[in-house]
Amino acid sequence: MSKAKAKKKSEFEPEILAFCCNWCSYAGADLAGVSRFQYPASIRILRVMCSGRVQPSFILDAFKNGIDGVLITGCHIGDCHYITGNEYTRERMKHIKTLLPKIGINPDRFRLEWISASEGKQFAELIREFTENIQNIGPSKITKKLGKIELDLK
Amino acid sequence: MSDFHSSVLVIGGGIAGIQTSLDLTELGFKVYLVEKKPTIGGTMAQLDKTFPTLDCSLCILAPKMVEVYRNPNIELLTYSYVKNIKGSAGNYSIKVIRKPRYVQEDLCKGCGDCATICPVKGIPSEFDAHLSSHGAAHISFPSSVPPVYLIDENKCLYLNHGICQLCKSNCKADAIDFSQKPKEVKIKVGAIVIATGYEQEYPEFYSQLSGQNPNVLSSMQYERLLSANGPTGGELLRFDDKKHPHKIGFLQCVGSRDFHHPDCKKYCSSICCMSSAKQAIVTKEHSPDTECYIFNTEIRAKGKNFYEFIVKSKEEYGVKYVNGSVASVKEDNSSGKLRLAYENIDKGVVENDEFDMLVLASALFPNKSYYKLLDCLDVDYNEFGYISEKGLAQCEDGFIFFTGYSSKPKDIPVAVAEGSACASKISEKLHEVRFENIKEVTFPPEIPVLAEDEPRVGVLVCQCGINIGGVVNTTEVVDYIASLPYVVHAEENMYSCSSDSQERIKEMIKEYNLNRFIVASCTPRTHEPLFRNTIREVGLNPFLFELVNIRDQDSWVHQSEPEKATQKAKDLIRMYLAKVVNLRPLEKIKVEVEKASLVIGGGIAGIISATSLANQGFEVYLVEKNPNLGGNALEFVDLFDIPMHENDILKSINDLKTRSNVHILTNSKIIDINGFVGNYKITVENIENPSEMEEFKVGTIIVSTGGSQSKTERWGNVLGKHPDRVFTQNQLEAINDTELPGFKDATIILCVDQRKNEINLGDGIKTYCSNICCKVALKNIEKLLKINPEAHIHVLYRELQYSDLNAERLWRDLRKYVSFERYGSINDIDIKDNGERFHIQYNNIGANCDIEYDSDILVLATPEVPGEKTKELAKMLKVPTTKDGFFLEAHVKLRPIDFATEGIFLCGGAHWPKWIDETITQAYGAAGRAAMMMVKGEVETEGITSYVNEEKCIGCGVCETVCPYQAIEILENSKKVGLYEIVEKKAHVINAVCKGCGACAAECPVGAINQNHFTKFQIKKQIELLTGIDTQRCEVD
Repeated sequence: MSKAKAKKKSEFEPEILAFCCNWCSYAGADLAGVSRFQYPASIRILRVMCSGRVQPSFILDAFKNGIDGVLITGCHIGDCHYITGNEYTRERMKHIKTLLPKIGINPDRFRLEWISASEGKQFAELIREFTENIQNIGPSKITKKLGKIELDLK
Repeated sequence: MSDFHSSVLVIGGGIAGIQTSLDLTELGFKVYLVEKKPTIGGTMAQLDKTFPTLDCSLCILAPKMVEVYRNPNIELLTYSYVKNIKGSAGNYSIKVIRKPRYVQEDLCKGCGDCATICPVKGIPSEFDAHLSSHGAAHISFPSSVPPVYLIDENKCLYLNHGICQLCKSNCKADAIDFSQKPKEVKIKVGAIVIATGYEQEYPEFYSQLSGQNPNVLSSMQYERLLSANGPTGGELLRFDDKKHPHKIGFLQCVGSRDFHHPDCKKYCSSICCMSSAKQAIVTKEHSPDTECYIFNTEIRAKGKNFYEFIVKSKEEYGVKYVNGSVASVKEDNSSGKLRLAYENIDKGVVENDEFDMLVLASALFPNKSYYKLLDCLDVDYNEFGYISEKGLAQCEDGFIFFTGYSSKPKDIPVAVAEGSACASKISEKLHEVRFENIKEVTFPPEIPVLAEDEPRVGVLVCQCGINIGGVVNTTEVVDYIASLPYVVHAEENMYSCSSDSQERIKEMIKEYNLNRFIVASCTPRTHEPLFRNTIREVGLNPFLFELVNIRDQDSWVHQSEPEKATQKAKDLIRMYLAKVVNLRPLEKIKVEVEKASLVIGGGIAGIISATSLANQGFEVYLVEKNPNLGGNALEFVDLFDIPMHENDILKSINDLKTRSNVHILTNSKIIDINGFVGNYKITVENIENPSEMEEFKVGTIIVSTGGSQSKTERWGNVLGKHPDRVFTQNQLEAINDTELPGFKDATIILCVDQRKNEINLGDGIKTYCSNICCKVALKNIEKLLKINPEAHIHVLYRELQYSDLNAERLWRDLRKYVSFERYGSINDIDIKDNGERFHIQYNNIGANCDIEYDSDILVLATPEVPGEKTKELAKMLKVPTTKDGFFLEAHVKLRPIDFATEGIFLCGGAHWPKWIDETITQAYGAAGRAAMMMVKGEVETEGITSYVNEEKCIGCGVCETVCPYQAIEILENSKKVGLYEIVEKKAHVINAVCKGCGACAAECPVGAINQNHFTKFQIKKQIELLTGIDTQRCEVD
């Protein structure tokens, strides 16, 4: 790898969307904060009640808008606040992994991880690692699209 | 009306106290929760994981702690103790002393600025079991409830030497108050619950086991070491050389189960075997190469699927179990290792081995304040140091109840069920004064906000002292946000959560005529309810609000990158703005609840549940398939360690029959259950006369269908010939003494066809332990000895499950007269017909040789199994069962007697084979949980539920399958299309049952189901706004 290329990669600041479930992973992210574990300012957390709410189209939407990486976090299997919600997430996301390369998106831009409410350190580490991975892959090839605040009048 | 007080004092804020308090408020009583530590949460908050599901302990406990904190009917008195109790049943005057925190609870924002600047260091942390330290200004742990700091008065420089006060000058909230003095609080209550929990000695106490060595830890210390929020952040390290331990020894029964040593406890602490197995598994998950040895007297795994957990630790994780105790521990200074000399009972030798770390599963015992309370109540305790049975009965007469470890050793689910049971018993005593002290908050009428109304958003950006403001440029954020569409007004302030800020929010809403609000501050997990409440107070629907986290997930994690943190704050608020403008007012719909309950199964569990509900004033339908009530319990000769005997059961049955609000339907079978919480329609058929049907409506259902003992095919050729001399344990209990054939030798074989493991294999062997057989054997031994005191009784056992106080005592007494003989596998026992007698041959562990003898009668402990109709009933109720066919509760740790389906509860042998005391506890608990749903005559639904767009719905039923709460039903409507009549299927959400997880919305193939407050449109808009905003286009629009 040439020096110029390496420099370019480290300059790239990825934009990552992270879905966190209210009960475990969002709490784990909070604990990272309370414990002051530092991590890159690359992620924007979108809170859902359960990771089971995340439907595949959300991930595709994110990539369509030029977001560089998407992370879904939920309770560990067996710990789900809604009993089995995360099991459905797991099944759904298996398909996403196989779908992404077919539409020209590196599947490593997407990740599903389980983070408990006591795993603040693991959360920070995950963000560090994932950010680095995205940096290595490089910016999304899709041009960033700016959003528009609209009303759902239905 | 009675003149009892409608308030209850709960002493102890661990999981038992928390559960009791929450249940009591639901039942209509005000609670004073007194906790001596600065935070509630107790031991459970310190745990890393819980057995047997390896749930993250804090994940499941923290929401309950917050619930207590937010409950307007619980007055939380932390860092306080009860000084005295005066009065009598229904009327107590209590003096509580509140110790000074030197931090004003109502002003402290929990930011930690006082702790950061405090120059005092090195005070051992009680929460981390002395494995870490903190300053004089500190908080127990990050998720403490209340989230308030305190100052250690023994270590503070100002309080002891008159210098410093750095914290005072650093506190932007001006919360430090050095003038605080102990404060006496007087309260009046009608009943008292004692839930003071347990303690454990630090390892230094056990000097003979080198407890002073830094690598010898107590089990609680090890728990902290494993915990992700522990002293090493979850990294497994030795404390002196900071290296990973490669070989860890877990020493069981340290300082317990010892009748000889005065410093030791006589009883079994009852949870250590399981907790050590859990710790060994978690260790293996951290680093699979670490060797784990568990040195045990015998493994006691008494609970639902606990035995399988032990087997899993051996077979899946390679945890090694050594049967035998450790004689000595020597430190090897050169290698830093710990050298153990121990007895290996299975091999019959003494062995030596070296370890990097030792974990002492040492005795657990009630803490000192417990004895002060017992003195205060003037009741005595037994030889084990727990309240005596007489004391317990005396207290119950005085409306004083014990729960958790304070009545006897127990694990979390039993404590939780007991908490609910205490609440139910109190509800029986005080039901006439229910709701007298309950605060019902009233709000002004809601301002209608329609979909077509232009959104007018207000934004408040919090600086949280310097916690946010020190990193994020809040002024810049406010300027940016104010420029965005639909934002009418934005401003910043020092502390958004303070009471003056709540007034400011209300002013803003009125001044700018706002119909949506955003606060950008800390976490919605703790603060969303506060702000929702505030906007509701000025008539705005509480769901027209979003809290954006720019502290815990921004300023605190990007402390050295202020510019990026500022940008992130802008991005996040922008994303949430896109959601907020699309929020709709949501309503928590009230569903009427029939004040009647169906109890299925008229055994002891059903009788107790029905009685408790009837005592609380509810209508009860008790359905039993047999001609008589009483179930298995009536067959028992004597119930040796519970305060209830055969006559008591008969008395309860007769009492129940006289109640006008109890309908007993014996000889009856349920043929249909229709509806949901609050409104079930039940159809019952008379078994003898099927045309005789009864229909009635109930609000809740309690399942108490019990279980029975199975038969065995084993040794069939021999045993089949002499049915008069072979009994199951239950049969022997039930038989009259005179009907038993004469005998000189009798044999009780335990673990027949159960507890499958690596050596005890074969078809038909159940994987689980039936829990009760070892104790039933004690009663049967007593029975046999009473009939023939000269008889020689053999008990062939594998591991004795005598963790209950009295069982341990009785066993120690009986083993003088009876030979307890240990075997390994049921397949090693050979029984031949010797004409008059049975010839028994088996391999004895310990003696390590074959033993042969003749026996006249045989008593077999075959597996306890669920009632035969369990599957059928489960289908009717739409509730799940385990692989062994027992009913499966909502959560094995914290919801042991609830089903996931709202309004249905579980108790007794239908849940799992259990001893009668625990059955009774669960039965009271289930009654209490059911009563909670019925007291108000209505239940409130979740505001955030799913809804169906019927036009899009194709009736495929995927949503029905994924819903874990049975909140979706597929309705069939007949429709006429031209000449044809077709049946159209449409999904329908039962609002009363929906918990709002949104799984159905994600799974629907045609996008017909959506989740309120997390709609597809809202989330998509949030995603779109992440990358930035196209303001130009907005202006054009």
